[in-house]
Amino acid sequence: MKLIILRDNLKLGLDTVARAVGQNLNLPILGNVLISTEGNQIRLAATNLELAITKIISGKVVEEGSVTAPHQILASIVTNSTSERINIETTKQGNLILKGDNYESNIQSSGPEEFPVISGVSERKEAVSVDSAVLREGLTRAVIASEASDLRPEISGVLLLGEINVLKLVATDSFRLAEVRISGQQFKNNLGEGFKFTIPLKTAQELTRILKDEGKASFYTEKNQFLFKTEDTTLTSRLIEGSFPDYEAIIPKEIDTEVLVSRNELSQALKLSGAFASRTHDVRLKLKDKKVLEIYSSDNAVGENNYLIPAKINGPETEAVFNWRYLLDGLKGGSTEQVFLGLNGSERPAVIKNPEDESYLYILMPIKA
Amino acid sequence: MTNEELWQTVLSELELQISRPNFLTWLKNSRLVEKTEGTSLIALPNNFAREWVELKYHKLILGSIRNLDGSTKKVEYVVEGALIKRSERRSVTLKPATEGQLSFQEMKVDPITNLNPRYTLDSFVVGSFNEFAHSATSAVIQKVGVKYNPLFIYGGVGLGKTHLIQAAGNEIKNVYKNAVRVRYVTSEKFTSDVVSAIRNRRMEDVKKNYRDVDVLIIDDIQFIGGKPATEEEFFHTFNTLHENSKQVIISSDRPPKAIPTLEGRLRSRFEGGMIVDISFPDYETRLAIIKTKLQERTASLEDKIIDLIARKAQRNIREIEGILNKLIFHQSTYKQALNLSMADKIITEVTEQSVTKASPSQILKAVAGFFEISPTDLVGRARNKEFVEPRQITMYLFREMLKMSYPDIANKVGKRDHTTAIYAYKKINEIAARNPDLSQKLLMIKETVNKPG
Repeated sequence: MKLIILRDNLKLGLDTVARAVGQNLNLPILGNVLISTEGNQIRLAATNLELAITKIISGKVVEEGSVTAPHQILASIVTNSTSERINIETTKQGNLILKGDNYESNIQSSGPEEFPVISGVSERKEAVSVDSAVLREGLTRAVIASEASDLRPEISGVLLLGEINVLKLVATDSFRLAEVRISGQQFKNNLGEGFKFTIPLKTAQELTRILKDEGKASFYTEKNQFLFKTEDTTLTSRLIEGSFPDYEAIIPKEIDTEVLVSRNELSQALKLSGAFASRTHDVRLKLKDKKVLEIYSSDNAVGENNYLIPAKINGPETEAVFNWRYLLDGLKGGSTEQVFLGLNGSERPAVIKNPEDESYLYILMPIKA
Repeated sequence: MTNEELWQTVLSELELQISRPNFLTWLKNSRLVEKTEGTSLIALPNNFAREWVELKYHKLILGSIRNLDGSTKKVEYVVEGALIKRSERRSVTLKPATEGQLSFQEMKVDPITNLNPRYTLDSFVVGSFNEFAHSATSAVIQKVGVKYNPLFIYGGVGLGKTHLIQAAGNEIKNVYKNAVRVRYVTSEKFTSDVVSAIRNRRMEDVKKNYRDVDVLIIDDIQFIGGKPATEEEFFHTFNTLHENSKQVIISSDRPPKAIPTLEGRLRSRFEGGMIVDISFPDYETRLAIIKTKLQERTASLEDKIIDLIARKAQRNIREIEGILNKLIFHQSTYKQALNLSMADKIITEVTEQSVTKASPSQILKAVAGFFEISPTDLVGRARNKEFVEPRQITMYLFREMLKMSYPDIANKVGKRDHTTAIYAYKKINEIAARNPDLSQKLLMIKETVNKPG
């Protein structure tokens, strides 16, 4: 095998597959990245047996072939290389030689035979296709509410729920829940049926890194596997076993007190008040005189703070205590100037959403005072 | 040789032929799922293992299975994620920062069975009013699917139906150590599953979900009445389960024959099993319930106050729960024991809260709706049997719920004489005291009146 690749392209490729590189004492080859050629394309691949990522990078294929070498070594060479072009070559002894303008590395490599088979993501019609930027945005907003947990494996991921004209992304850590809706214009379901499956949190986070500002992404599932592709990258991942809880039951059917407030002001207020919150990050939200939202926090060792924000309030006056970080997370899910806050007393879930549309919903349980 | 032994033998042969790292990575967490008609089905923990084993070790595996078991001609592979051992599970404890942070109630529910572990048989207080239902349930737990199938439990709101059937599910799960697959569902959820399955063309999901169980528990069945597609699906689900001696436990707020919109074929099937009712707890049982609930909450109240609650909260157990919540909250906020008059005020607040919303026209509508007659007939002149009782009930409820005067009542109900109203009130009052059937009807009507919207 003989390749000439621009340093930046190789770096991009190695970075993309980096998080799928495995550390397995039984099978050290999982720490390697597979470099292979397909016609005049160069493909990098890595897997940790839960997740596999492949990336096609551009470069010149002088002689076809394939080889695996430790990702760590390749990455440090490429990161520190000042040469614009890097020559890659395999020797007859089975070593890999990387050549820059002023260095030549000889790396112990191994053949592709022992590397796990990464199932190809086919270019097929029966898939869901969605704008890359929209999916990235949606996943970013959903994973806020998720938490990796061995205790509750069935919720440590993002639920993808496809209905005929809406794609819902849902995540929860049992204290809060985020639901992002991607509407029919922004995605296309060619599976011929609805779908419902949960991808691991790590896979979701990886997708937000892979997805770009432009272009389309598509995905489908097959035999307990999630298969995803963009123009030059593919990702396959296991699915989470066990069913995601019936989250619709959590969404409050009615809201006692509706509050409209400036998103920016509330988020500033929470950050400031957060400095006075105690170890449990608790701040008290209190509604007054139909037009003021008061945020109070205190800590024995620090002192106390009172923050008043003008608000439009509809419904009975109420108060509740929340984790201010969780509240702030909920505000990050939208970008409208105003934010809708629905309070349901001190023991039932509160709702945060955009005032006009249903594209984002964040539900949060209070802290018991 | 059992499948397990066979596979163990195969594995120990393979272990000699492939390198240790490869064996540990690819084959350690595998099992032989089944052997049918010459095909052996091998489960592997992930897709990578499946592809790898199929590609590299298929011949080895097929060869060594055939050596041991000549009938095998083919080996197939599936992925079974549960094979990955999660030894580290349960070792994680909640971070201290989540102290006091409430979590979604619904999340405490077991995702597979849908049961809430909070409901147990131990915390179910048995009295004369629910003895029968309790013993029928116990019999079902001992002989799942055989003894009473279906078991149909009915009774008014807040009397512990859900508690009893969920407790039955939890108990079955514990007794049979998960060997019996239990699934609990409210009829509302069942309906929404059917609707979304139809919309998303995934009917097989519903079939798989509800037919692939040993015990199906369905709550508030009365709500599926009048929804043809859901009834149809439930009918087939029911038949499949029943034919295979799978246990079905159903709850409802009224007996099958009193659910007017329920299809005949479903009704007759429900009536084919055991029908038991839960009526209202008497004073002594209410006392026992209050004490149990206090114990659950590790709170205490004076005996005098407990007695007061038991005397005043006559409607249902949920009301008792509401009162207790308020009293305990009051006690913990003000950090002092309650006095009797304060407690009385709080109790009255709860018990009378719902009554204030009612209006005469709401009651008329509720009664007419319940007996399925028109409001005009209800206040009309006809003295057919089907109108007389509802009419008397209306007058009774006017008096009872709205404290209206007799002349006023008589005037509202078809401009009658006030003595008619007095007679009706007394009569219904008297019968209701003796006849649990009537008192249950009254309660159900009151529920509809008090329901918001």
